[in-house]
Amino acid sequence: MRALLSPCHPLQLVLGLLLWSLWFVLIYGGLSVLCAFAAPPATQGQWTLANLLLGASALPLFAFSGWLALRGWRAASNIEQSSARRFVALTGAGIHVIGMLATLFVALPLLILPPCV
Amino acid sequence: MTERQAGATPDNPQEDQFDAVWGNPRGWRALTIVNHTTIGLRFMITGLVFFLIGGLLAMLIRTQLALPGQEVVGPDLYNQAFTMHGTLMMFLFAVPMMEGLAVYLIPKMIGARDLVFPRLSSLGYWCYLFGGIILCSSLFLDLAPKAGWFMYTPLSSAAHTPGAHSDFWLLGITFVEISAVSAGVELVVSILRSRAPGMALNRMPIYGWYILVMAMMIVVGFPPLILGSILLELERAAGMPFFDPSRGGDPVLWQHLFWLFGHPEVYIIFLPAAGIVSTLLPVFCGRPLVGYRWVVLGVISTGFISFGLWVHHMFTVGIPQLAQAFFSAASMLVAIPTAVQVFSWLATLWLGKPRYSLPMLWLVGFLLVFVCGGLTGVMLALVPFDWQVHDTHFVVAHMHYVLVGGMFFPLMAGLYYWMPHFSGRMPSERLGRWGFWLFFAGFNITFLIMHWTGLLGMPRRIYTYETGLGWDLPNLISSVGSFIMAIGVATLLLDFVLHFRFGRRAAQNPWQADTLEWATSLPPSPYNFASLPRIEDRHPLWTRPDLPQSIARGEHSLATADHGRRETWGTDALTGRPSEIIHLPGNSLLPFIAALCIGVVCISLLAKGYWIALIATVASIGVLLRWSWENGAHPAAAPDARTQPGDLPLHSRTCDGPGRWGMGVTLLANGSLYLSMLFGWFYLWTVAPGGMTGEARLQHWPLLLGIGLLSAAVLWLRRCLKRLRAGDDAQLAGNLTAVTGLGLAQSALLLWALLDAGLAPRASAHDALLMFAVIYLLVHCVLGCALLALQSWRVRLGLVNAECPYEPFVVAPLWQYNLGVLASGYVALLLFPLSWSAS
Repeated sequence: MRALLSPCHPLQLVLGLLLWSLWFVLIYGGLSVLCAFAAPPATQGQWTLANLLLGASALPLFAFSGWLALRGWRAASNIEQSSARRFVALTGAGIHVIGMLATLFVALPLLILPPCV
Repeated sequence: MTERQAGATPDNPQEDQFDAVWGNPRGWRALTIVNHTTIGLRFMITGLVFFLIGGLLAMLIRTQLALPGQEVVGPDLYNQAFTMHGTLMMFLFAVPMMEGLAVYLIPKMIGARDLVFPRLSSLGYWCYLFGGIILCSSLFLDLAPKAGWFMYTPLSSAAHTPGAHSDFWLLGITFVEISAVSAGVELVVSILRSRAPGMALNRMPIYGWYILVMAMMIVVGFPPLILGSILLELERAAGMPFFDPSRGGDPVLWQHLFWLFGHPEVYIIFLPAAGIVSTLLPVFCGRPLVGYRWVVLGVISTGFISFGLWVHHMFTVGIPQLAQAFFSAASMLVAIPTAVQVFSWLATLWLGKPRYSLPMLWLVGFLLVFVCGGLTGVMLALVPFDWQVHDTHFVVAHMHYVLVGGMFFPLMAGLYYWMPHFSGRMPSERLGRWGFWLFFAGFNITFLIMHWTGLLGMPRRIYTYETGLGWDLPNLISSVGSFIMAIGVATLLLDFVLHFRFGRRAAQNPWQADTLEWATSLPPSPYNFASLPRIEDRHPLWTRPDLPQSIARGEHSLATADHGRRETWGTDALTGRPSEIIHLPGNSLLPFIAALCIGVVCISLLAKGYWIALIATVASIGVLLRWSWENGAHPAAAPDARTQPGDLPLHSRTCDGPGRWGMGVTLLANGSLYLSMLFGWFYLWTVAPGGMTGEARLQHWPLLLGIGLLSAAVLWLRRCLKRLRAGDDAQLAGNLTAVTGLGLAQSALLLWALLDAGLAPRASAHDALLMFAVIYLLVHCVLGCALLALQSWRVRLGLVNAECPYEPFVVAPLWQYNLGVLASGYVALLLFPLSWSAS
């Protein structure tokens, strides 16, 4: 299990965007459920509890992905690692950064649009 | 009688040995061939035939639309033509063609002798062929599917499409999807576990990355459609109302399931094609690909983000704007990793010295056409624009720019590039250039104009139109262009056929390529390499141009076949360090018989001969279990299990061979299907809660007791395997039998719970989905028991023991999976509705 969590494990090549995918499903599913059962009035605009909750869910993912990216970057800088492990660590760090950017970009509409219109 | 390796000399005993072990039989025994080279070629030739049929249908469509008010075909036949055109091109040409090319190339590129599950390759091919034939036969019976290639309900449901039309699609395509998923599983495992010694992930040919991502996407992306097809067929045949709103179902659920598959499908087709581009461009520019790591990042990102786009096909069905904006953002986002690849290609062109040979011409054509298609894709990702052009010919034009530009052009580049591999001969430059320009001009005349036709408001899928709407001239131009394109295809075909006779003989490595597939003889022998070299960098033939000769002289590893085994290296997924010798199964008729039995199931279901279908299902299971029997230490799997002193062990003598990885990847596909089913369950609760409140309920205690029993069984099995790994096989058979007994008791409880619930699956979607889910769980639990019972039997026969511990380790993940789905199924199917009722 410890090996699985290493920044040099090939799992890092997919982890960043796997987390993003789960979050993506979460906000889409969460929005559907909120709109089905607790839809705020359209007049409230985008400043609703639903938008706040969904937007807040992006922050921990953003922070966690950032930490994973930093960890991968540091592991890739360790020249004692084999070239394969450094490749995986650095590429994995890149995937985490892409996950961070994707999270931000997809969350942007929460600042603009009401949830259930 | 077997074929000799091309160029083999009769007095070379090493080649004789290899030919005896690896040779392909002729005559009717050719049905038994499992070798990846032959299977890959069969995939591609069959794909070409389906492409031609799909192309003929396209010409029929364009003939009909050439002029207003035409009656070349009536509306019913027109519906069949466009449905079958899309279906054939997407399911029977694009995916199998790309998979076939990968099946052919991957072992050669990664320095292996075959894929790790050769019989699975063969099964995949036969399923593809039989499924394709069944589907195409509907054209001649006037029973072809006619609800569009994405089969939207309720149009495709029994009420609106009576007869077997939709059934042909649902059963035929599901049959073909067995092929796609099986090839996906085996490509993933082969790439991860059978690369040449020393070929770490960072030294893998870039094509390997593309195929790895494509194969993973198939494994995860196809099951939602398989599930959707099964549900829709059950609705049509058995009246289970999954998509019927009057009984608690929802037609939009079909759209979700279809596009959960359908959008990744576009990238499943595009990524291997982009892999061809990334492989060929460096060769014709005489320099390495610029930004290898960036391209890897781009490919992985594309693979993931493409799963977040499915709703952009459903912008007009009434989804909240915010949800649309999520998918719109993801749709724009996916353009970025694609652009990274495009910039990498441009930089490679910029920094290299391009040689404009025939394959390069197709690559340049690809860049032009695909970038245009990509840009209109970004336009369509914008919700207001999408609303304007939804279901018009603009979308048809965009789709063809992406798919033909992104798949067909690179495919043609690849086919020309690897032509010497298939035939040992070079293509004709002159005829090839004629073919390219005719196709390129015809394609753009047809589809560039079609953007305007769409913007002028012409809907897709109408069989004719009135004059005076402004659509007459653009349609005529598109039709003329399509016939020019068809002449281009005919020219290409002519070139392909003629080159086998008149093409000049290819030299070794005729394009001065860097990848290992050019280290084989041309055409290659069934075993690819007489010895397996160690690979130290990404461009082995550029750094060591003498590799083909030293490989043929047997100067590298695994250079003997006197033991009668088909061998290749099993290596570490990350570093490429050898960890075992994988011994591969030889030729076998079992895959053909299994596919034949599944074909009988398919035809029987179409003809509503359910008893015959049941018998054929039992026969299929019997054949597949017989197949599983000839594994591991079985004499048919390893006729001579001795190895040289100091050699690594055979994989069947380890605890972690490719089969375990294959089980893991298969369970990933299975998990995708299961999660899609849970998605359907939660989706229906959300959109139609009124229809999900049936009286029938499963009792809690049998499921809770079952979870307890299965947990005990999994722990017991784990303890057995721990001891087996440590070399202790005492009482192994008894322990495995006892674990099986626990599993059977749990299955019996599940069956009892199902029978006791009094479900009415025809009356409500709730009961139908509940019944489907429980049957899914039951089938898996019984399958786990059957496989473990067989292991227990094998222990008693001496086929599994401390020296050959491999196979129980392959079966164990299925038990863990079963426990996971049973426990999560209990929460979703029983506990969740309670919380719903309470709220």
